[in-house]
Amino acid sequence: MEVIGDPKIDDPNKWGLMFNPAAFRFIPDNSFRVRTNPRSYPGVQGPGYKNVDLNLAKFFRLTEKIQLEFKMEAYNLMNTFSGADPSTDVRNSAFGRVIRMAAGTQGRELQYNARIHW
Amino acid sequence: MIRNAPIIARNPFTLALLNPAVVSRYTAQKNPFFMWAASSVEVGGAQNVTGDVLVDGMPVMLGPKSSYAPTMDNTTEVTVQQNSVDAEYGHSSGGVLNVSMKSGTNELHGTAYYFGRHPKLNAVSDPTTRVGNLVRNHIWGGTAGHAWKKNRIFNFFAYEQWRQQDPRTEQRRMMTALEKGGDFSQSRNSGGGLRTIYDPWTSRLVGGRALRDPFQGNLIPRSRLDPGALKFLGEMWDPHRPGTDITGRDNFAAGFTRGLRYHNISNRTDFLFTDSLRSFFRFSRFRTALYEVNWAPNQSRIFNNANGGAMNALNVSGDLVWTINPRTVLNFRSNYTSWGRSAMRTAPGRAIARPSAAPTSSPSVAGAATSPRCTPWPMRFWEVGPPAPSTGITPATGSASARWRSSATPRSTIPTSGA
Repeated sequence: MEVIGDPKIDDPNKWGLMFNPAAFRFIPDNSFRVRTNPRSYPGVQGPGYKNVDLNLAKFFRLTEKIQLEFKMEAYNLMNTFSGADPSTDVRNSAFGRVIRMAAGTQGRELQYNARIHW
Repeated sequence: MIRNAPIIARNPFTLALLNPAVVSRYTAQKNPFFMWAASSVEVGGAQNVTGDVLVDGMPVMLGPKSSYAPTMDNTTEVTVQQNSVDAEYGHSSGGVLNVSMKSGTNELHGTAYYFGRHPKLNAVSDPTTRVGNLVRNHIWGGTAGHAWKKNRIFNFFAYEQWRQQDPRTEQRRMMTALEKGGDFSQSRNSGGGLRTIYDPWTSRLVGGRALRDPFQGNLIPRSRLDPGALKFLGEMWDPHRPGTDITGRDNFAAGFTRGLRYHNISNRTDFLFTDSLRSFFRFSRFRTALYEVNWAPNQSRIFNNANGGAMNALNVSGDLVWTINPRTVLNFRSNYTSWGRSAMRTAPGRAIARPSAAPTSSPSVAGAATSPRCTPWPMRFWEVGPPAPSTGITPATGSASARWRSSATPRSTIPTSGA
């Protein structure tokens, strides 16, 4: 792969392009050549990460010593997509695009909880 | 406070991320039974899996992985130390995470709880594939703390159990129908050229160079296909989409659920012999079984069950604190910790091999079976109260064993019975 342009774009988009794939070209010739590409490109980075979790709970006193709690938990409440780094395989049709979620993230999930305290 | 925080993984070690000096290096595996979870953080700039992880002040790290993790309802405090230069601590290039577990009190206190998730309440799990969120879980448990003898002997018991269905996706590059018939005339390599198939019977030395010829038209004659290979090919399922590049990469994708069975049990007894001499003894363990369904559309017998398995951990610890005088405290701690895992299960009802069923001799095991067990026996520090420095000594023994299948055994899963 060789660099033939500026990979930085003004409006990187996790649903679209994170950098300019046309700035790179695949070299079919697999003979050895000295690397000239830089290790990183200023202004080219992966998508960010945002997440909001929220709990709502209500306690009911059953007796002097016993309480009943109902709780609703929301994970990734805003259902924000946190993308993994874009594809950096110049031969892939998705080169420059985010093709999967960041590891350890998920869409919004709700969890219900009942608990007795004594 | 911990009990009220939204913690999706229900692993107390994940609370370390509330510290701004802690950077997540988690993969999707954050639950307490994934032993990588506790150590996959960077603390104060040090690399992940190089810090120490403690439960009740005693180390539970075995190599780069942790072992036992308490339940959330059994946790009273989580601490993060960025650079522990105190002689009390070791086994770390920087960060130390410690989870302290609860003790009983004179009065009976406890909880009983249930957590649930249902697919109809969830958004899609992955918007890039639009795979529906199939998480279905049931978590229940309870705790109870009380005194066996008032002001002297206290007990705290905790139990938690999980029944979960977890969404998963897999991609594969499957052979096309033409390729399975020996026709590679349409198969392309990553550079766009023909994916040439050479005839091994034409290999020869010419002038010191090894040469071989491609099959005519990139077609392997039917007569050259081995009967054993044809049976193997018959078990391979077909792609259902074009793939993400010219080679057909990821031309098959599957969404499925993985079943999980987990329980965590712990009991701690505290002894208050005198106002200056106290001790505790604790037994804790968890057992986990992951069942991965055979997601091949043809229920292929060569399905490679790489993600099922068992993950177990045990931690037995004791602690003795003697406050000799206001400036001198003597503390002995000792613990035994171990973990074991194997990767050999499919869905309930389709189990093809179980860890308890002689994993090294079963003909139907996918991949390797490992059962490392390590046994550190730290006997911890003498501490002379501040501002004097403390000293520490940590004799430890360790052992590990791993059983690997013979390389001659194919990585395939051929059921030996209908079980």
